[in-house]
Amino acid sequence: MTPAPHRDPRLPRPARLFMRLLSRDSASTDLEADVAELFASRRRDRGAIYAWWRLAGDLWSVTWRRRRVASPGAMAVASAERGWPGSSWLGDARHAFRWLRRYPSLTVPALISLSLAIGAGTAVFSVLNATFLREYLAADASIVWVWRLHENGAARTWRPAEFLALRRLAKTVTLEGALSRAALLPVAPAPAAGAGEGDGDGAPASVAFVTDGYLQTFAPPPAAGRLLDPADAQPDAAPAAVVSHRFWRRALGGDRSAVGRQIRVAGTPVRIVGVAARDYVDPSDGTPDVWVPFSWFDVLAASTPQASSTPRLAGYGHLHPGTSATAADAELTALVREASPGGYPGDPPATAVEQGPVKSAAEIAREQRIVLVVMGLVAIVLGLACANVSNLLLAGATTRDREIGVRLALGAGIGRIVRQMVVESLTLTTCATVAGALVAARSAPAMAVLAGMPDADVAIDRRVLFFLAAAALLVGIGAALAPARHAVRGSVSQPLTAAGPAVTTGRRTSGMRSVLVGVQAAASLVLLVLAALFARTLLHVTRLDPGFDVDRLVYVSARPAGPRPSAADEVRARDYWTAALGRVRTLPASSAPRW
Amino acid sequence: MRGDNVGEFEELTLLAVRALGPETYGVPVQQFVERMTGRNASIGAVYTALDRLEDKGLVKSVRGDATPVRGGKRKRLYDVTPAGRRTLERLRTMRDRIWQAIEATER
Repeated sequence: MTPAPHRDPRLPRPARLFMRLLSRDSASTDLEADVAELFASRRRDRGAIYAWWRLAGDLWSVTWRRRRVASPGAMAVASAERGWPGSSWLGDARHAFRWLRRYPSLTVPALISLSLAIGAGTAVFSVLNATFLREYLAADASIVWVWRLHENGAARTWRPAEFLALRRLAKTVTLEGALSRAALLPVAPAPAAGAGEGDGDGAPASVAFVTDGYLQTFAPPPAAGRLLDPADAQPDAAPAAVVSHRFWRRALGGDRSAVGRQIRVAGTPVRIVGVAARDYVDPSDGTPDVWVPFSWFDVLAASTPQASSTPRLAGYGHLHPGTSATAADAELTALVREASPGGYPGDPPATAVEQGPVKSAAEIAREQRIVLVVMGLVAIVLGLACANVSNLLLAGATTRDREIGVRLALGAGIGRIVRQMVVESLTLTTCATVAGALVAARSAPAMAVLAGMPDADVAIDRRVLFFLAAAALLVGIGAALAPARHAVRGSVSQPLTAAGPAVTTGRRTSGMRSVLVGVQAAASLVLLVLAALFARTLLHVTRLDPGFDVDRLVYVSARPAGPRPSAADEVRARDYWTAALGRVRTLPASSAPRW
Repeated sequence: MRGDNVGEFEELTLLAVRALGPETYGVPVQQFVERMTGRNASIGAVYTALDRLEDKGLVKSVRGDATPVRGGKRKRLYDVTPAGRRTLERLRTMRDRIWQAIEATER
């Protein structure tokens, strides 16, 4: 005879797992079979939606089903511990909630302390995440190299034809794609059909022009739509654009239907074909808002007075394995001298290639140090909160000796008592984490402004949520260690035989509390000293003497509009600015102008 | 925690166990209550009522043998105890007396 299957296949897997979490005793297995039978019968008679709806109700009712506690007697004593409200994890959580409600003088300070610590830690992590971590995790900046052309020591722009020729000929490097330095162009969502002309030219946004291969190599799969492909770079292709996740949220309201719609870039309608992944950090200096195929540079940027009329194109790629930087430099320099068809009309061929990793090892090391220092401070703050909560729980635990003694006498294992302490602490931490998340969501943007990065995307993402959960778990378990140790070391008989209320603080407990108080005091002192040093540095910076009177200093920036200058124009431009500066010197209100 | 007082849902459950006869279990009881009252009853509520009735000594339960149906799992089989029968009779008599009083008033 074939043995009967152990599990009933008719109950859906999530429901089975849920019931398994509740309890594993025989009564629960019988109940699970009943729930499965009902589910199957309802699905057969009334359909799947009804069956699922009722299954949810059944699971809910089973969760809160009152457990039987037998009447006094020999069997009752044996089963009383099993019938303890906290004989399952969920029961422990219920018991923890009741306990936390009963002692507001302990729980309220602990909640405030934990919420602020977790909130502040998460806010700091959000800013770090937005500024450094996304970039680290997106790509290793040290292996992405950038190549720029030079002509007699001055940077010269790189024509797409030049780039394509070099990409074909280069043997020591792989030139993946090229990107122009982002230009600030007016970008506006196109008005809906039947609407008016919209709100003029739109707000300025950074628009970068890329050759094919650039986004395909460096960008992860897009959040929506697709990336630019070679077909978009064809002369007869309609203008297409990929927008950054930040731009999509800010200017397009995070609308999923934005893909396929049109935006106006410098007055020209351009269709959005995709939204870049949220984590994408462009290898160029700063992630642009919009990427457009380079073939549209002349149409979109060159005719716009706001933008530089010269595309500052740079090639991005990788060195071949085993190739030295010197060999790559030699090959590319030779190639640009021979094969460069020249830049824009009037430009002589490039004479040299400037190359290097997008981010130097020194820059990366400096950023890593910043991350380490800030995360160290966050760890100290969380550790302080941990010690604080632990201390409070320990103070509470000394008043619970009798309860724990009774449970031990009824047959509760040490593991059960420790589990309850951990669940209580985790319950407290979970409540604090919810409040901490609200604190973080409110304070992270302000912190980003303080850090001088008001545009940083500090919204909560998967990494921040993971940090939040990990912080909550660590703090929860960390804060439960001392009370659990106290409970486990407690005697069964002593609290039960004590005459009065069991408020006994033994030497061991007070020793543990002294250690915790000592840790708190030491960590607080470190934080105070760091805060004082930071404040002193800030004060020092504001009083720093730059060597000139900053009070009446005027900074003027000018950028000429007009046709794109050739290299030959550089000399004339220098003469022009020297003459302009000479005329400014003659003004009575100015003194010692420099440029 | 023995006592004769039963709540409304406990009474319905006790009636269902009696109506379904010996060796009934949770699922038929739940379906009977739903069918007769026309309102939804969760399996958890039914088992809570059965547990309370058992604590009060009004029903008794035994674990049945494993059968090939239900994935080989056993059922907890319920039956009404003599005390349960007496309680039901008492409740019925009480209600009958009240209805007789109502009818006498309205006649």
